Amino acid sequence: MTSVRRYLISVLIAVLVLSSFLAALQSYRLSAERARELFDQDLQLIAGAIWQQYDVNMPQPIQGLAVQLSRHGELKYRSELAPQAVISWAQGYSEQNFAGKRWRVFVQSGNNGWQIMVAQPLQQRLQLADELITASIYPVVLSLPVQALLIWLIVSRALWPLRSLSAQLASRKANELSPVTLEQVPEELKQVLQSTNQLFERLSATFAREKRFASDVAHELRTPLSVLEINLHNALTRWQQQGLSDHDETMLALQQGVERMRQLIEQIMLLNRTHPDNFQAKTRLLDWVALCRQVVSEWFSQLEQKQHSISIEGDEHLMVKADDFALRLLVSNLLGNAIKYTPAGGQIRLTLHKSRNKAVLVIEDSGPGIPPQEYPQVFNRFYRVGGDRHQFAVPGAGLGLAIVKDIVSLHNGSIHLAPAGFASGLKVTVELPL
Amino acid sequence: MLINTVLLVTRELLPLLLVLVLMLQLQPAQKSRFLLLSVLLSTALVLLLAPWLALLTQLAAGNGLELLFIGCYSVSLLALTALLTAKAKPFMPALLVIAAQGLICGINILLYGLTGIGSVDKGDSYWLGALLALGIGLSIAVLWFHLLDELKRRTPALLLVMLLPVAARQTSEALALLQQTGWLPGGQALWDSSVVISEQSEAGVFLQAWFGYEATPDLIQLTGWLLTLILLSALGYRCYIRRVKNEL
Repeated sequence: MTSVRRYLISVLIAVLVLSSFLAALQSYRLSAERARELFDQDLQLIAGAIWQQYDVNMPQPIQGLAVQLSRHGELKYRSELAPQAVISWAQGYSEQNFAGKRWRVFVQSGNNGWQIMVAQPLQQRLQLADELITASIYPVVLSLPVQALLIWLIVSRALWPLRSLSAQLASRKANELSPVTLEQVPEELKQVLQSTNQLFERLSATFAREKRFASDVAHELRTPLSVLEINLHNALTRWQQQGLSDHDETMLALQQGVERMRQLIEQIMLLNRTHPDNFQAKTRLLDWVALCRQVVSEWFSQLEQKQHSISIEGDEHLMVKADDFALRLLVSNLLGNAIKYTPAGGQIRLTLHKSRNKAVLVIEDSGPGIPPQEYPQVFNRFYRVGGDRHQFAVPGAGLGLAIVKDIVSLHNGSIHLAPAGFASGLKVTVELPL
Repeated sequence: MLINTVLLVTRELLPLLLVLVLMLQLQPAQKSRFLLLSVLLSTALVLLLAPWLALLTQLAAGNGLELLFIGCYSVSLLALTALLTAKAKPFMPALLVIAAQGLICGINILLYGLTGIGSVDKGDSYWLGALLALGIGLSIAVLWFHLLDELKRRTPALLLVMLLPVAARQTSEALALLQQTGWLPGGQALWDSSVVISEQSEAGVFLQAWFGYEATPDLIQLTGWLLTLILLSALGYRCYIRRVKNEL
């Protein structure tokens, strides 16, 4: 069943039309039978009247009727339409053919061998009956569109709360979990509405708890980690002052581990913050080119350290409606990845342009790239190309591209990966609606 | 008379509508496309043949139309057999069934409208009768559609079973026409059930449209009807079982 409304309207109208038309036909049949009796009675009355007024020179009786009078089998009178021969000898009603027509005949015998025969064309009777009876069927047929319209209105009205509920649920955003309210709640929908609202309530509480937990854990971990980072730094400084050397690079490994954990916590907090279910985007018109330049300047020290060459090409200005924080994070994550994974002295190219009704950012690097079969997986949380033992020993949590994907979804955009235009490397294309 | 028009138009229209509904139910994904193509194809065929009706009637010693209808019923029967035995629900055989039924229905209604009985009482009652017949036919079709929908949801194989009486009707109609043309001998009626269900009654017209109900069938018609039903049942059952085994 595709639609309850369509089902109800079609079935109700079909039942109404069928029952009305069948009733009209039945009424037609009964009326036709009654008309036939009345016409027969008329023939009998006419026969009686002619009988009383009989005169050899009497004028033509009622038009359209054939009349004959006979005595002892000899025809004494016949009207214009009557045949030369006697129409019928059989008493009472019968149907006969003459003058190229079929006739309804009434024969009555009187005293002294007299007999009267009155005939009426059957077609004339049928037409008369039809005209009378069909007139009574017209109202049935003509009123049907009105009744169908009423059915449509009534069913639509009755199903309005259901449609309203469905529309409200369909128009909700993913993070909107407030109770559904309807102006009028029919008895049949009360339980559905109550259960739906209870579900929303439970879902809302669960989401809030999960959000708070992730945020609290990350926040609580940041403080001891900072303490650990400072103590490590101080210990290393003291070692250096005391002339102690870190032969097996234990302290360096510790520092790298702490740094990786700090990054992971930062990324978890950002992922939590930028997830479409949680993020309250404050969109405004931004110049994406200017924003990219700012992000590049923020990453300048790393770029210089690795001796990368970087270029920004394309339009001078590209205005896009987006959230400042989220868009900055998107460019920063993509550029950060390009810087991190491109070997020293590599090339990075940012291209910004308008394509139809989209703003497009393309970031290409001359790094090792990603095998195309892994493109779909890299947007998964904690996924790292080559696993934890990354071949380039670049610290990372595997959350950067997941955050980028969330930000793109948040702005109803799209992201695609492809091989870069350099000898090797990755090309990331982000399209945001204008 | 109005009642004659209603009966004649309903008798022609109802078989087409019932088969159309059944074919629509067999096309779960392409209902609208199928409906549109069916209407277009049937109308085109009727319009194509309309100017040649007089000539067609005179062919084969005055049996031209009957021969055309026998051809239509045969095509319908073959297409229904294909539908019953096919693995998927083919689009073309279903369309062929509707085209053949549409041609019979269209030509008969056209003939009735242009000549014959229709010419006697053309007027308000003719149009009113046609409208009543159309209303009755469409209403029954809508209810039939929902009934088949319900059956399909409960037991999908029932839809295939519903093809059997329709196929049997094609045979009995073709045989009746062959008897009418004199190519097959006419036989005595085996029974007369018109006292229970008259062919002129609403129920009689519906049953005739569904499985070819005859109040006074003769031996040839009944044998043809039963043979089609039994043979196609066996064929359909065999194909169904083979399909189920393959799926397992």
